[in-house]
Amino acid sequence: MNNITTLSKLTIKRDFLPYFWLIVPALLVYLTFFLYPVMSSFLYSFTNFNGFNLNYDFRGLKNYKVLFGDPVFRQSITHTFVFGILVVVFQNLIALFFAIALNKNFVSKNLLRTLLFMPVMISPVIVGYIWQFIYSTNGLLNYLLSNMFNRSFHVNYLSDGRTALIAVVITHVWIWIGYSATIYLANLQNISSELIENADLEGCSSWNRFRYIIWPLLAPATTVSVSLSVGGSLRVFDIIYVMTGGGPGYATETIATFMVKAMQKNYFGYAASSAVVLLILVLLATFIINRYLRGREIDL
Amino acid sequence: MIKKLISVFLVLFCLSAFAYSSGQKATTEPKGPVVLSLFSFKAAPHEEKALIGVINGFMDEYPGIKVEYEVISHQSGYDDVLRTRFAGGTMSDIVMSTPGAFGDLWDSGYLEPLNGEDFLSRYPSTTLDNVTREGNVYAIITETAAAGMWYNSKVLDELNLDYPSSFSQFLDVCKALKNAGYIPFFAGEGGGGGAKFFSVPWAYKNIASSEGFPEFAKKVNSGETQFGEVFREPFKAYLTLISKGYRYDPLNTVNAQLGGEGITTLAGGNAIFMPGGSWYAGKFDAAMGKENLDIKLGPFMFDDKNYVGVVANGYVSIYSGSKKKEAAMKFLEYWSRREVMDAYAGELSSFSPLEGGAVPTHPRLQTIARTYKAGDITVWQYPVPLDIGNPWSFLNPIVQNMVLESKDPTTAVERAIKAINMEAKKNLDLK
Amino acid sequence: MKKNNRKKILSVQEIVIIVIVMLMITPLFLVLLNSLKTEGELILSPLSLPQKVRWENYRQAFSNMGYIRSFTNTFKMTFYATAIGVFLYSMAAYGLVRAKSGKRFFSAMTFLFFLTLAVPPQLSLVPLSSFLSRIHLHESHLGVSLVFIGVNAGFGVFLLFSFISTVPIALEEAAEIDGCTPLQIFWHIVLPLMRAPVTTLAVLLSLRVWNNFLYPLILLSGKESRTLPLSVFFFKGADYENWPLLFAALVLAIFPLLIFYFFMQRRIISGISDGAVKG
Repeated sequence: MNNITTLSKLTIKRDFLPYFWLIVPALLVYLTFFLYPVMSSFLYSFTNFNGFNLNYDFRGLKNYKVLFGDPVFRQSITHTFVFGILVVVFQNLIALFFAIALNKNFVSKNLLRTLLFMPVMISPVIVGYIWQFIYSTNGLLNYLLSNMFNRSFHVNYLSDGRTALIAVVITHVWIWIGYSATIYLANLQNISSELIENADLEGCSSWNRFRYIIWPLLAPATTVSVSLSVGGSLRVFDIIYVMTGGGPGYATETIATFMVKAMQKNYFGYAASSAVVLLILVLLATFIINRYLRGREIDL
Repeated sequence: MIKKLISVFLVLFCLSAFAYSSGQKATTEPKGPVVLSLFSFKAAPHEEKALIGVINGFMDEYPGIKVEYEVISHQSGYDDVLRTRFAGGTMSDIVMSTPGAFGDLWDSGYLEPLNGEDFLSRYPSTTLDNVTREGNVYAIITETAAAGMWYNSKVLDELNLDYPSSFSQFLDVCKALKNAGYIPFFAGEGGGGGAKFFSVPWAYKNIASSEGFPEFAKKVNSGETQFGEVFREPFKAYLTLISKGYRYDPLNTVNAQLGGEGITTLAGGNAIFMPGGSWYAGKFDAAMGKENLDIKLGPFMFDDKNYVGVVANGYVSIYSGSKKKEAAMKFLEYWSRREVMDAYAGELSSFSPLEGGAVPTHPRLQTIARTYKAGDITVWQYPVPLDIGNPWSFLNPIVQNMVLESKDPTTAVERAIKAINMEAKKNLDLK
Repeated sequence: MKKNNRKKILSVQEIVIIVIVMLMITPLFLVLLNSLKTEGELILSPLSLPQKVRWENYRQAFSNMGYIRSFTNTFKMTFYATAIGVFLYSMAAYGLVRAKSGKRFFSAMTFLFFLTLAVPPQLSLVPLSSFLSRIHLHESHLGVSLVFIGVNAGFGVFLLFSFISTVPIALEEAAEIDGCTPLQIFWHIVLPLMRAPVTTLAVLLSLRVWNNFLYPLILLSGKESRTLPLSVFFFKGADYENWPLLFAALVLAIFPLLIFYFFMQRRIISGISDGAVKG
């Protein structure tokens, strides 16, 4: 008996505590300065808090009841997922392409990487403004299309309910390509070049080399980049708010713009309840995707 | 290498922690004069200059008081800061609030009543109605802007057309303009929203002339009256402009902003009329290109008459948690003086809100200055809160959809009204 | 390798990539272009070249932003939040991946960190501000730096989490037999092998901190404590904006970051060939 407890104490001391202490500092700061404020604001979702008056009333699930009866909110869930799927697919595919291209021994690779990374450094307000120029009736896109197809194009892509969502997806992907590419690059750099050279010597075609050697080894970066883009795209706010304000009508309304608009109308409790729904959806989505991606990492 | 870097980081971190703590000690030492802080959303250079003018004049008169101000004019930024400062108890002594935030600040008990102060008698009572709650006044108003129709007077003159004084005349003028090859009317529904600018004053004019706003608000708040109904007339009129082909490319301007694309369009000579506010005057100055146009602000033309929309703005209140209320009150008194207020409002190209106050001298605003009188339609805020929410903040997507569906005007109007009623009901549920 | 480096020429492949990248960043040229125009010119012809180059915008932006002071503020905060952040996150990530017992506990902790990726940040502002003022950390750069370390924890841990599993465990086991503690193993073996991911994390973190204006906006007040993005933010009003000036301010704000990024990425690349043991 005595023997067993000392043994397990020893395990705790040797196998648990040293690792526990490693995570404590980060955990402490994280809990105090992030999780605590977030969780306490989730409590507001059960109140009629207006953002100012701290004498609010608890109203149980009333906010959630109104939320699910709100057709605008239901629309915004759909838009959020359409936006998310398009962004995750295109952002990662294009970023992967650039990462592989820029991993080559190019003269200009440093410069190209920096340039590619630049959009993410610019505040969304400005990015939104520039892309409004591009999408406007007399903008760059119509100009290019008119020249290419030899007939005149006069569409404002952000004012058309059919194109607005795609237009903001493109802008969002444009911003984050460099970011994802950087993550893939970091992974590529960690892949031993001998492995690739060996494959070359054995006469692998470049597609096979990618498919059977590089792609599986990129699993960690894929997990990170895909998960980040899932979180980033489902929570998208800035860029949509600046470019379309959720419009035309509700064509680009997402859960996050819905939430911030509710906050601006001083329905803070209501906003909090939509944030809780967003949290659950993002968690579900990332959980499912992560299970798949991590499983893939272990398989290799 | 990394090890070295990290140890350097750590050393620097410790050093900086010392620097922080010693730096913080220095700032908490008491200073000589009373320091008043002021938080405002008037951030454009000319607005900031006007504010500095008021502050400097005040400090000259009261050398014992120092005023420090902070401005944020970005809509979401202002909201965030306002909310967090109140929640953290770190709000400035004097707060300039937007009409949208004022009601909730009052409701939360953050504003100090100004009753019994002599300087309130300098304002016309209709102006103070905006900031009166349950019989108490909670703010001074520092400027009154005008809302109406921007128009290209040169083209009207060339075609010998008079400025329309009713909606039917407006339709005639549009027809004449269209026949002469002009696009008569511009409005975009992004941000400030043209349909909103056009419809809300019209709707409120109808309310004011029938049962009066307090009575109406009571009925709407109790759910007895459907709020959307008051928009039927202006929405129909607006869609008439579209269906007759008088409006500039409506489907392409759904997201366009009056203060952006709208100004460019009028300044480029590409449309003749546009709804908007007197605060665009300076923007028109900046946007005027080669063309020699004369763009001015005129009144609205709703059914049979001209109306000026009145936007009482820049509500300045004292934070109820302030420890320097006496000094703050002195500041409000100073700002309410005739010469101070006239100078401030003048700098903003606005009307002075005082009884018999100055009108703006900006050349583009002279038409409206002649028509303007206190008691015209107030377009933002009322002495009775609307529990159904602020239409200025929820109408945008609704009118955007209406314009997108304008091919079938009757259905579009009905849908818009239904959407307003639904939004109103939802907001009543949330109260 | 060295031979190849010496006779570098532009291959067809490279030219194609250069063209694609150039096309992709055309919108950025618009920023540069319009930062040199007058206001009226930008409104009337946003896509054309400036009639006359206006360097005046830059001079004005520089002085309006209080550039030196804002730069110092931003630099301090970014430096603390990144340096301490990278250190804490990589340690935590290592602990989470390699813990030997209490698996359930550690995966619960992983999930906890994971939550950051799912929460919209706008929501936490009100409680955060009142909490910081209660512990007397509001209005200080230290407070904001700590908030950044907390906010980015999920991201940092998550980024390294995946990469640590690529470090061959055989090396660590050998060290363990030699009697090294997990902290020592992490320090002497894992960290040097993770140079590329850790440098990447540092770059991405500093970007997040440098560019963020939401937290400095609500947690700091007064012109003295403004950061660079915050002072850019103040150029834009709800009803008034001088876009050319705003663009000039923006270029000035991201310029230091650009330089930093450019040099850091040389480190990402060169960090690989020397020292690393190949799996």
